[in-house]
Amino acid sequence: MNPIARRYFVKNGFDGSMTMLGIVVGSWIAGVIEPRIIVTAGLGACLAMGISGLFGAYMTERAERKRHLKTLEAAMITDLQDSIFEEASNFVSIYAAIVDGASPILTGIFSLIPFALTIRGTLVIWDAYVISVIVSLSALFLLGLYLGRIAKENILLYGVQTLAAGAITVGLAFLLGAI
Amino acid sequence: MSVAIRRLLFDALKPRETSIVELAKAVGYAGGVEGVDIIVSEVDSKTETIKLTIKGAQIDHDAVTKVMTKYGVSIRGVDEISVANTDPQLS
Repeated sequence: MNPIARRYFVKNGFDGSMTMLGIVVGSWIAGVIEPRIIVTAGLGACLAMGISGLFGAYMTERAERKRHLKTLEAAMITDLQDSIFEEASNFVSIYAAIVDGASPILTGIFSLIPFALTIRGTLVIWDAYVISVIVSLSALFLLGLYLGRIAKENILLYGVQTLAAGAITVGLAFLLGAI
Repeated sequence: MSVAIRRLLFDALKPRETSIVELAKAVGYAGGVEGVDIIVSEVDSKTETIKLTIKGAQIDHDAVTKVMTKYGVSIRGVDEISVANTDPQLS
């Protein structure tokens, strides 16, 4: 994975897990006992984040690449429209868009699996809440480990940092619910 | 009468992002090319000036320039050229 795609993957993957955590904890505090509501809301959020990532990354990356190409054309005093630079520019924009669009869906969808099991009657809703929160926090921790691997530093430290962000979200949500 | 291009020396400008290894390999696959030599003569912040020598029995000039354009190379001029008369009557 190239550095641009890596950044998009982690950034939007983080968003995906945090959003799911917010939806699940919010529903838990509100006492939602109908798993379909959580699954529908979660899938809706996943879809919205996916489409937002797809278009957002494509347009941002395309604009950046066009700018880079124009700067290069000015330095070369030539037209690079049919060169491999134009092809690479288009490819990177599409690649970044796919990664950015898919990452929140990938990281978010796992948090909804316990509720899908509740719909099928395999899990009790309150167990689904606990498992879903654990899944979301685990996804955040894994993203942190991946960041640590990229940085070639202490992976556990990075994992704990991203896990702490999730734990703070859960803590604050429960605190607000208590008020 | 037919003539064949045996050697070409291009003075060209290329983006620094284009690797001379990749460029040499790509030009090497062009029609009639048997050997490619590239020398970087000047380095700028975004560009590099190169001297690109192509050798072959019958170099396809158009195919070579097409590959170079594809790799973002701007040809400033042909500094040297060698051609040979390939008319069978002469031999």
